[in-house]
Formats: sequence, C-alpha cells, structure tokens
Amino acid sequence: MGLPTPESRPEGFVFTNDVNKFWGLSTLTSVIVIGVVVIFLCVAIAIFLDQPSIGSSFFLICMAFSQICIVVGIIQWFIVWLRLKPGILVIPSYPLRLGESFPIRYSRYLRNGQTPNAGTISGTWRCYEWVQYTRGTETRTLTETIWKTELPSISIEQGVRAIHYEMQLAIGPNLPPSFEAKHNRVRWELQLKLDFPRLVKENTTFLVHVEPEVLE
Amino acid sequence: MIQVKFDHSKVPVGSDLTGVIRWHSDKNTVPKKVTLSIKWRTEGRGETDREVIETMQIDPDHFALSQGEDIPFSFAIPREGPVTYNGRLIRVLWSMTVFIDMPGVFRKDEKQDFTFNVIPRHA
Repeated sequence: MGLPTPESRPEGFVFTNDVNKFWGLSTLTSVIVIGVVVIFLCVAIAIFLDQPSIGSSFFLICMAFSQICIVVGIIQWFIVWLRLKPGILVIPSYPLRLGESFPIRYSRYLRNGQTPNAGTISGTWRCYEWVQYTRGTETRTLTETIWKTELPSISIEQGVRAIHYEMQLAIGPNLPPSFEAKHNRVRWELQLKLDFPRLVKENTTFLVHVEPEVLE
Repeated sequence: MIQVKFDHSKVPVGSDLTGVIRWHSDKNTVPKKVTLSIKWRTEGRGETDREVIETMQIDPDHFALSQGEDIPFSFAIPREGPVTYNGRLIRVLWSMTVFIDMPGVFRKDEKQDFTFNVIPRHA
C-alpha cells in the first residue's frame, strides 16, 4: 500500500525517480494552476485600477509574488528535466530486512553535455512515523523521525556525464520494520541531496520496504 | 468466566498463535455461538486503523460440555505482520477476542480481549 515496487534487473532491484512521469502528469496541472493564478492577478489589477487603496495594493503585491514563485518553481523543475535523466537507485536484494547492511548505488545521467561545475551529493537514511488525524473538519498529518543517519557528502568533479553515489546502509536489528495502514505508517526513506551549481539543486527521496524479519 | 492461556507470549510473524481457552459458567446453558478472532489495531495520535485477521467458531455444544476444561486453538499470524509496536506517535496492538453469544434476552453475552505480542521472525 503506497510503497513503490522496484524493477528486478540483473544488477539488482532498481528504483526509478521518474521525473518524466511527473512532468507528463503535472503539465496539465501546471497549466491549470498558472491559468487560475493569472485570472486572480487580472482581478486584482482590475480592483486596484478601479479603487486604488492600501488593501487592494497589498492584495495585488501578494498575488504577483505568489505567481512569480509558482512560475520560478515550475521553470526550475523544467530545467532539471531538460538537463538530467531520472535518478536510479540500485539495491542488491529486496525487500530489506532488520539487521541488514547493504550497498546502494544512485546514478543520475545528464541528457546532454557534462556537469558545468563541481558539485556535491549527500544523503539521509531515516525511519519515521507518519500519522493522519482530523481536528474538526480539517485533516492533519504529523511525522516524527525515530532514527536517522546522515550519509557522507562526496564531491563530484566538473565535466562528468553522470553523477554516481555509492554508499553502505544499515538497518538496526532493534528498529521497527515498515508498517503501512491508512492513517498510521512507519516508513524507511533514503533522501539524496544534489547540489550542482548551474545544473541542479534538489532533494530526491526513495521509500523502501523493510520486512519484519531479523537477519541473524 | 473466560480464561485464555497462550503457549507463548511473543509470537513471530509467520508462526502460529496457540493456546487454550477455558470457560466457567454458573448455569448449565449452551451458548448460541462462540467466536474467537485475532486482530490488530493502532492507538496514538493518528486515526485508528484496525484489521481482523482471522475468525474461528467453536461448536457451542462442545464448548458447553467442555466447561472447566481446556479447549485448544490455533491462529496463523501473517508473515507480513504487522509486529507489535510502541512508538512515539503510533502503537500497534494485537489481541484475541472471545465472544460468547448467550441465548435469550436476559442473558448477558460474554466478551473479552486478551492481548499478545507479535515480533519479527528470525531469518
């Protein structure tokens, strides 16, 4: 329920952070969001021109600022999509088990050219609880990290065609396995942070399943 | 009075929960229905999630005749769990419910929960 299933290949179990799929699904959403914001902005300008006041000016500024933020965010995503292929995470065995130590390999290939600058890649490996509850008519969520470890940051030199990150991860034998229910979850997550000036600055997360089995 | 004794207080996922149930009643009445079920539920900050994993019925005549005697039971705990968990926002609790449906309007049904722990299996 909710967790992605990796593809089994000769090199291991492959998780793909498919930005192409994201863009395919979200292009229409982006167009609708921009359209709605443009309509609101036009209304704000009309109100301001009709009755200039501090209130209408403030509303106009807020609308313009939010629209700029949305457009900048979408452009950033689009630039990443143009420059980089989807991220690929390879794990040798799956599902994972408590007490297991295993290597991971994360790769991000450039669509064209090479990295224009040197950059860094680092990560966080964590287990967290997630709950959903309602207060009145509002649905709220809450997360609490149970355990986490920061993975070392490595530098990638300028002029490479692919970004690779290899690391050894471990799951403590006394930590909880994954648990998925509608309102309550215990999840294991690998978060990778890429910081390459003039190329990409993003956080990518992969959810993995940990079985209720302790490795001797 | 319902008494339940589990063979093991901690049961690994994928194993069987086994034990015995014993019933004492002051009156010689045969219940309409006797049901045992195992389930898990969550407690804590989130909305409650729950699932009944397995239900079994015991023949009421046999149950009444066996008053004061041990009646064995066995349930399979799923391999995927969940395991009993006591976290910061979430608790996962397992229990076995015994429900004795008594005949007649004025006889009170008997229902009781007995908790047990489900732990990860060892490879």
